[in-house]
Amino acid sequence: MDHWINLLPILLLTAACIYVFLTNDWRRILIAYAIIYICAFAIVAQYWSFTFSLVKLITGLMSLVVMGISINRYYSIPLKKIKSELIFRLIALCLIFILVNFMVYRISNYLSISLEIVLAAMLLIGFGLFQLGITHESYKIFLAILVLFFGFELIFSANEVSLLVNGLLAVVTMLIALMGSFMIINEFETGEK
Amino acid sequence: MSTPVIFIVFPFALSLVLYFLQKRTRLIIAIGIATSIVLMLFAFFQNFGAVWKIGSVSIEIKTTLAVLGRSFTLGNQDKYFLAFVYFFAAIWFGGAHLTRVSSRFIPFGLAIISILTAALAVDPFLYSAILVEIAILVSIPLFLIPGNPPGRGVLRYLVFQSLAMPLILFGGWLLGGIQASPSDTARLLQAVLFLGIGFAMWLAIFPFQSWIPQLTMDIHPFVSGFILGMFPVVTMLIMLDFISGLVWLRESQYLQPVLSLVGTIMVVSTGVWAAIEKDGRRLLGCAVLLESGLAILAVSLQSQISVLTLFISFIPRMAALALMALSLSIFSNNGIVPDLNHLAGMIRKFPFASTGLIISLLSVAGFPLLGGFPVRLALLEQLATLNPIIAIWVLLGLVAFLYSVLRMLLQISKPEQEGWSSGESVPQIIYLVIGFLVLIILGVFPNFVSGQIAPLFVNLPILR
Repeated sequence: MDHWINLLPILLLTAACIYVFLTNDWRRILIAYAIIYICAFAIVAQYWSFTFSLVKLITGLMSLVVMGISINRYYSIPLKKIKSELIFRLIALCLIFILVNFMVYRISNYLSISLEIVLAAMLLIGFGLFQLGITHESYKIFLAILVLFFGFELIFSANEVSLLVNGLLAVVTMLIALMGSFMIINEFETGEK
Repeated sequence: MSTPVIFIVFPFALSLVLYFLQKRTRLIIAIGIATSIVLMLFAFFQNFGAVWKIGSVSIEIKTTLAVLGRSFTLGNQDKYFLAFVYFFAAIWFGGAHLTRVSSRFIPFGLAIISILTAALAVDPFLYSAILVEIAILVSIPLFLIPGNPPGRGVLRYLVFQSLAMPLILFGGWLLGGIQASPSDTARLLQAVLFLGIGFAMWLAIFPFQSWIPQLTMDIHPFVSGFILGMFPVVTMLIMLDFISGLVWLRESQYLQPVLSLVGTIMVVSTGVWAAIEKDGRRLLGCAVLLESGLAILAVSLQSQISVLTLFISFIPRMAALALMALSLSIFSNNGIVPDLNHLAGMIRKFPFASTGLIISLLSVAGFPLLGGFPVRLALLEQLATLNPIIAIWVLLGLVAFLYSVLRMLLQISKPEQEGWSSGESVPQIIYLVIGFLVLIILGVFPNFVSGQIAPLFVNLPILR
C-alpha cells in the first residue's frame, strides 16, 4: 500500500458494504452506497486526474439520486431482518472479504495497478456479486449492478483511459439507474395492461 | 452521407421521435414498418461505398463514421445482416398491432436494432460489449406490465446479460495488451477465458441458460420472440467477427473441440428439457436454446460452408420464431394459458394459431419440408463427416425436441370441443398463413431462397 492513510477509506467502504447487508431501510442503504462512492473517490483521486475521478463520483451519486427519487415514492415501510438471516449474511460477506484480501496482492501485481484501487475494486465486486446472488428486490438488484460495475470501472479505467469508453460506461451507469427507477415506478403504477 | 448514419443514427433518432408519439399507435406502427422496409431495400440493392443516384442528384455513400476517434463501419460485408435485421423488424412491427403489445414496442424495438447495429459496426471490438449492454438496458421497458412487479426471469436476464459486459471488456483489454507480446500464452488463455464466459452469458450457453425459459414465462410471447430472436443472432455475429479477426484463436487446436462439446451439450440438454416441458412459452425458450446450440456447432466446424449454413439458418430461425411468438400471443391475448392442459382441443377453436405453433416447432426440430430442415440436414451431414458420434447426439437432441412437439400436437388436436370455429381475426389469419407459406417455401425450395440472397454473402467470416 502506497500510504497507510488509504486504509481509512477502505475500512469505511468495507463497513458501508456490511451495513447494506444489515439494514433494510432504503434510506440508510442509499447513504451507505453514497459512502462507498465517496470512499472509492478518495482513493482513486490520488492516482487518476481529479476531473476524471470526479466524473466517476458524480455519475455514481447521480445514479443513486435517480434511484432514490423513485424508491422514495413507493418504499415506505422497511421490513426488519431476523437475527439468523443477519448472522448468515455477515458471515458470508466476511468470508468473501477474506477471500478478496488473499487475492488482491497478486491481482495488483498482475495488472500493475496500485493495491488500494484493486482492494477497493475487488471488495465492491465481491459485495456486488453476493448481493446479486441473494437479493430478490428489484431496486437492490439494480444497486448491486451499479456497485459491481463501479468496482469493475475502478480496475478497468486505471488502464483504459479512452474518453469514449469511459463516456459510454457513464452512460451505462446512468441507464441502469434510469431503468431501475422506471421498473420501480412501473411496479406501483396503475394503468393499461 | 454514410451507412452508419443511415442504419444507426437515423433509426435511433426516429425511435426518439416515435417515443413521444406513443398514443398514436397506428401512425407509429406505419412509420416503423415503412422505415424498416426502406432500410431493408436500401441494404439489399445499394452498393455501399458507391454513389447513390436519385435523378440528377448524386450522393456518395461512405462506409465509415468517426466518433471521438473511434470508427463505425458498415460495408458490403454487413449487407446481409442489415437486410435481414430490418426485414424481420418490419415483420415484427407489423405484428405489433395484431398481438396488442404495448405501443412502446416500436420505438424501443427500433432503438434496440440501431444500437445492436452499432455494436456490430464499432471498431475496435471492445466497444461492442458496452453497446450491447446499452441495448439490453433499453429493452427492459418492453418487459414491464404497469402495476406488476418484474418477474424473476426479467431480473435474471438483466443480471446474466449485464455480467457479460465487464468480462468481455476485461478480456478484450487483456487481449489488446497481449498483441505486443503474443508469446505470453498464460495471459492469452486468461483473456480467452474471460471472453469465453462473457460470450457464454450473452448467448445463454450452458450452464448460463436458465434465465431464458423463465423470461419467456414472464413476458409477452411476442416481445420474447423479438428479443430472443435479435440478441443471440447479433452476439453470435460479434463472436464470429472476433474469432475471425484472431488468427491464433481460429487456428487453436482447442477451439473446435470446445465449441462442439458446448454445442452438443446445449442441443441434447435442451432436447431433453423440451421433452418434459408442458408450457408453450417455455418451449419457445427451448427453441431459442436449441437454435443457439446448433449455431455453435456450425461455428465449431470452422469451414466456409458451415458459416454459410449458419448465415442461411438465420432466416428459417427467425421465421419460425415469429410464427411461434404470434401463435402464442393469440392464445395469451384470448386468456388461454398456452400449456398442455389448456391447449387441449384448441385446434377446433383456434385452428390457425394451433397450426402455426405446431408448424413453427416442427421447423425448429428440423422436420422435413419445413424451413429448418435443409439447414439441419446440411449441418448433420457436415458433423457426420467430422465426428459421427456428435452427429448422433445432435440427432438424439432433435428427436427429443420432436417428441415434445408431437406431444403438443396430440394434445392440441384432442377432440374435446365440439364443432369448428375460428377465434383468430382476419389479419391474424393472413399473418399466420404467410408464416406457414414462408416456412414451407424455405423447406421445399431452399436453393431458390439462398440463391436470391447469395449476392449479400460478401466477405463471410473466415474461421480457419
